[in-house]
Amino acid sequence: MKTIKADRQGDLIFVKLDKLPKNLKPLKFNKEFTLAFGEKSGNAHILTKEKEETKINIYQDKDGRYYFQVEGGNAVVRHQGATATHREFVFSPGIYVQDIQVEFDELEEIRKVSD
Amino acid sequence: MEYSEKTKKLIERIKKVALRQEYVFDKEKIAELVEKSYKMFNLKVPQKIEWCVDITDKRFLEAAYVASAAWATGATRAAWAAWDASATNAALDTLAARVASATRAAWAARTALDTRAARVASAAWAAWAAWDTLAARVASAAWAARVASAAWAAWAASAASDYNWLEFLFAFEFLQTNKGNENDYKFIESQELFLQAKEAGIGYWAEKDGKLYIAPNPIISLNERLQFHSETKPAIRWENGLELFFLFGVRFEKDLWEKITKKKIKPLEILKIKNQEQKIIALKMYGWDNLLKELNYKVLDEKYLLINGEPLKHQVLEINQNGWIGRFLKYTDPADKAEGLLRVDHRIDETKSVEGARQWGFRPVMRLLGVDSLEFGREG
Repeated sequence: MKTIKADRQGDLIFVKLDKLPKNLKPLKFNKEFTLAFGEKSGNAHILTKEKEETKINIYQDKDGRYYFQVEGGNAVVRHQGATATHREFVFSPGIYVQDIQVEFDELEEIRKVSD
Repeated sequence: MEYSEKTKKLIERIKKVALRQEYVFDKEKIAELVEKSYKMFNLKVPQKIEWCVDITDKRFLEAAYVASAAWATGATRAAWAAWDASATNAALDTLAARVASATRAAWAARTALDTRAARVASAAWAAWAAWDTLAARVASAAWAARVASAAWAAWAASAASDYNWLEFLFAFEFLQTNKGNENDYKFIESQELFLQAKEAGIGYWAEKDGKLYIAPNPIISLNERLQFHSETKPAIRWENGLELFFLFGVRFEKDLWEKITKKKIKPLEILKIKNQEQKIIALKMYGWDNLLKELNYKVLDEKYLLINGEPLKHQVLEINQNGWIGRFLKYTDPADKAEGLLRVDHRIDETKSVEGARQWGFRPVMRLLGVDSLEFGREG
């Protein structure tokens, strides 16, 4: 039975990895990055740096999951918006994968939770 | 509250505009104020003003896109430039001393500790706070991109045209008892013109090819938590134009909003709402007890999970309604203690338990990592 630790911010889950998987698409990180966005609420889960000198590289896999590599300081994920409620998470240097909770749907079997 | 009578009157004016529930769009007055604003900063006055019904007007959208940020070339920008120049000077000479002065520091401290609290509690500030939040929200690239609607994108582009009332008030109050420089007074004068324009009903504007496209301010409804909310009318609306429906800060399509507010929605329909936030609002308005009373359900599991040191109730409910089977994790959100429903796969045994149902929601990442179970660390 293999168990892994995970952090959860609302519908988002974060798991620390030992290394980055292969075949990821590098994305541009410019001060901050929107990991998930609530179309109806306007709330967003925003990845940002705790300090200017922190370096964050961000990637995406073929299924749309984000991976971020944090170096030289901490990263922060904030839930922002008019109805935002989730607490802020600080991520120490390392590699993380982030995914979104799914819900059962007869037609699609599963679909990502949207808010 | 310790601020001058003049500032109090200014706050009253802002309050009146912010909470205004009637439509005002005095074109003649707006045109006059626009001209004054442009001339004040020696900007070329637009040859013509095109009046738009709301921000979805095609002409306004085009102008907003072209301008990218309407204010960048407009009078608002000029006003802020003057203020910025003043701030730059401050770092260099006399203003630096002022910024560091006990008067300003004391005033700032009061603002932060006392006055702000009182202001936030007032309906006027509630309105502006919510409006600012909307502007910030709309201004985010993510919002514009995800909503993928030209109207919202235009709004994003023009959102910056709304100016900063707090800076205006702060500078205004400061100058009641302190001597400012030329730029300070120019800034105040320009902001006064903008406030008058707001009073005349201006909302958003964008300039293109010498023409100024102006859309009126919408009328907004808020609840006590400063969220866009109305159960009787669109929470954001333009006269004869765009209407946006919100409940507790969450946007709804008109049909769904009507069904929920007029109590015409059926329990099963609520369970099938795909958007989680909408579903939570619909459940809240319908009432959990009412919902469960009307559904044929059974509790498969019930536990209080200790999350962040608090026991939070979780249940697995299975509903069988005329052959339609749905298995749900009824959870308590650790962040705001709101109750929500997450549908899980009813065809497998592992979702019969609270723990299994919780983990099922993250099955894709578990599969990716080749793990059998998750141990949640931080949750919130």
